[in-house]
Amino acid sequence: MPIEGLVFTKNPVELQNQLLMGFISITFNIQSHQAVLVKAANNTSRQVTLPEVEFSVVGPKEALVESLDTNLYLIRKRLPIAELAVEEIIVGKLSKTRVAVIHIEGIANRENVETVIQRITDLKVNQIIDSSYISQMIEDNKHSPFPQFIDTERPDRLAAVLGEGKVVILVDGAPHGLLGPSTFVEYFAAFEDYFLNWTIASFFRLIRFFAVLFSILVTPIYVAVLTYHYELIPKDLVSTLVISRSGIPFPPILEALILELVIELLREAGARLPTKVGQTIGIVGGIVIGTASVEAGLTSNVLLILVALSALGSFTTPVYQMGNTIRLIRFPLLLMAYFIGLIGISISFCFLLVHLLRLTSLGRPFLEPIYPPRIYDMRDALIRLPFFLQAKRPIEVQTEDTIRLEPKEDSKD
Amino acid sequence: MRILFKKLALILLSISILSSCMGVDSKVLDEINMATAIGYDYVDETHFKAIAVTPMYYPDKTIKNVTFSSKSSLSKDVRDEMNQQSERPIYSGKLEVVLYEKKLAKQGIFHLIDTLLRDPSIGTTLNLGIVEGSTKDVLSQQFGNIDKGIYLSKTIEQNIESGMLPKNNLHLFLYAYYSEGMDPFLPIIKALDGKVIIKGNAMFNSKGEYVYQTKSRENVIFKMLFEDTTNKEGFSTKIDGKEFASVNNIITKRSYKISKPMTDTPITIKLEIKAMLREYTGKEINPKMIKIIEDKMSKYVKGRSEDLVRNFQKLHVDPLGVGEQVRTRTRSWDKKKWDEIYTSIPINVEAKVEILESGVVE
Repeated sequence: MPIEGLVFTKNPVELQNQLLMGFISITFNIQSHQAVLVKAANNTSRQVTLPEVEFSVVGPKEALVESLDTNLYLIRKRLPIAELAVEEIIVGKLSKTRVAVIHIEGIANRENVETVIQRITDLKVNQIIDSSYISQMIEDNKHSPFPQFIDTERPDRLAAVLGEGKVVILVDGAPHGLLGPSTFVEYFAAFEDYFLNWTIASFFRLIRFFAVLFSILVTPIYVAVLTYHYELIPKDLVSTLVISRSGIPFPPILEALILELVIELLREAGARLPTKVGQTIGIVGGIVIGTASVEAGLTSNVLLILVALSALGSFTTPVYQMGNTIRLIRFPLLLMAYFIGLIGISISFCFLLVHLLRLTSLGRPFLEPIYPPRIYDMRDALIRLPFFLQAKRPIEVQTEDTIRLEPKEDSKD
Repeated sequence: MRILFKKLALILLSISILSSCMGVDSKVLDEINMATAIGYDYVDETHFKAIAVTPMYYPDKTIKNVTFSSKSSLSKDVRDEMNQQSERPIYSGKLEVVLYEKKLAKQGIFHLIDTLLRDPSIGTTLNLGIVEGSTKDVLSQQFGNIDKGIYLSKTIEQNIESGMLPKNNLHLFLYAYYSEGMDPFLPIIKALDGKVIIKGNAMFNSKGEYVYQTKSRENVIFKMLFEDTTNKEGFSTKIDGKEFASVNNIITKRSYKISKPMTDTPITIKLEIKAMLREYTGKEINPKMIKIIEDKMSKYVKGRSEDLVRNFQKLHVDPLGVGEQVRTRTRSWDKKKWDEIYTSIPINVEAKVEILESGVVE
């Protein structure tokens, strides 16, 4: 039987801690006050399975599991180098959760690593159940609806960002790893983008950005235009809009709020139910409520289309947390559109922009490379240029070693 | 945390208070009557009668026009009186067409256009028009299941796009009106059993009074002289006695040659016309024949153009903007002096017709 993780100790506190973690203590000689700790914990854990949240058609199909050791192994097998540094911190008075901070020495910026370690060691909490606890507690702005750490279940993505010089946090018991510093545009980059040709990947990314903008703005604009700015409607669209609105007893804002809330309700109901029942909910919601409410004259079918499309748009964000944010920030915009029309939308959009500009992730600007403008990082932002054009690591991370693609031998001179 | 909540409370409070201060009253699309066309008819020297068309949309996708009319001397009063007849407030932000009776236009219509300028909700891509007969005849009859205002504006725009009307709307009308070397013009329409027919262009003098209506043959010539066009319409000419030739799909390029601006040296307008031969009553088309047709047509265009320009000079109107062309070439522009010499300057037209295609049949 192979024995791994032998620890010799004289410290009674460590002895106690390790015994509680499932180690066996063997004392050879009472006088030497030294014990050998042998790891004997029965690590019951799931098998490594397919990624479910970040599924991709092409590319590796391994997902993290609840065991930290398995997760570390999944990363280490992709980066079998001595520079891969793992720092383990025990957090939580009750849970004693192992939190691992991983980076590659010589690439990652020490400052980022130290910040993460500092923030985690400073945590005075009883329990850490999941990695999302950590991400909420060590974020730069804890009130922001925007996530500042990317949450991923793909070990290949973690290995890739480690190579970019970012810091990865893994938590024992959590099947998701965190990575930071992150930028706004990264939340709209599916990892699958890197497995596809750059033209196709760029097209999908642009579609995703368009979908998100559409998703945030379309219902507020509908409400604003129908409530205040009837003159903006093109003359060929007027009759369609008025006919679809005729006979509806609610003002546009109530109509929009009701429909948006119905969609949220459906999503929430679908999320709380097992997969099989969730499909039924989809049919009930989509067909029964949608069609019936139009036929009953409670909502206009134009708005129904817009709300459904905007819900669809918000589901295109590859990072789940960001999708939630997108769905939330639509509501203040909707209310402002109702209060003062398009001016309200512009004002709230400015608020949003200012918030994003002030936001940082591990002290690095969140809206980079848009602001501060860093042209080099634009190569992997709204679009993704081919790998040979991305010879440098992202400036955002301020890596120690900036070159990731060595020039070819023959092109040296 | 407390600061955050204070900030949030402040923002919410200011929104709810300020939104009532900003004077934005909601105009929910289906709770208003959107006037799409307005017509002004002559009553007497100081009064006019206005008629407004608003579409009513029904859930079964039918559109019915409702008209409101009122007599007054001020546009503002008109709107009040119309509102008194309507079950929903009438707004003019979706106005597509404004029509004026010819008789009214003779008195000048600028004081009536003024109200369109002052209302910020009215766009300047609005189409204006002059009506032969009363505007009531044009506006009161609905054509098919389409709103009359939208029908009229589409008819005018279609004729600008591919017909014989030069580009025109409220913005361009005002540009011409305020320009020192240019006079405005508007399309003339006439009611025709629920539909309308476009008769030509009405020329205005610098005071904004209607003075002249182009004849049907002059319309294409006017459009060619006014702007570079790609035009589906064409013209026909007589070639030796009996035979006629007609061209369409013409592309024209117009350029001015002004050797000594602000003097009475002749001004030359050069027209290059590329066209396709669509009809020829003669027997055979060959390169020699094409050459003859081209020459005849050039002569025809030159003659017609010069007649039209002479006519404009005689009436002292300048819808072509010859004055503007001179002004852009003059260092010290003097409007008074230009007005004096405009009628006497010889303006020549050089036309060159080129036939690109003679059709499938050889």
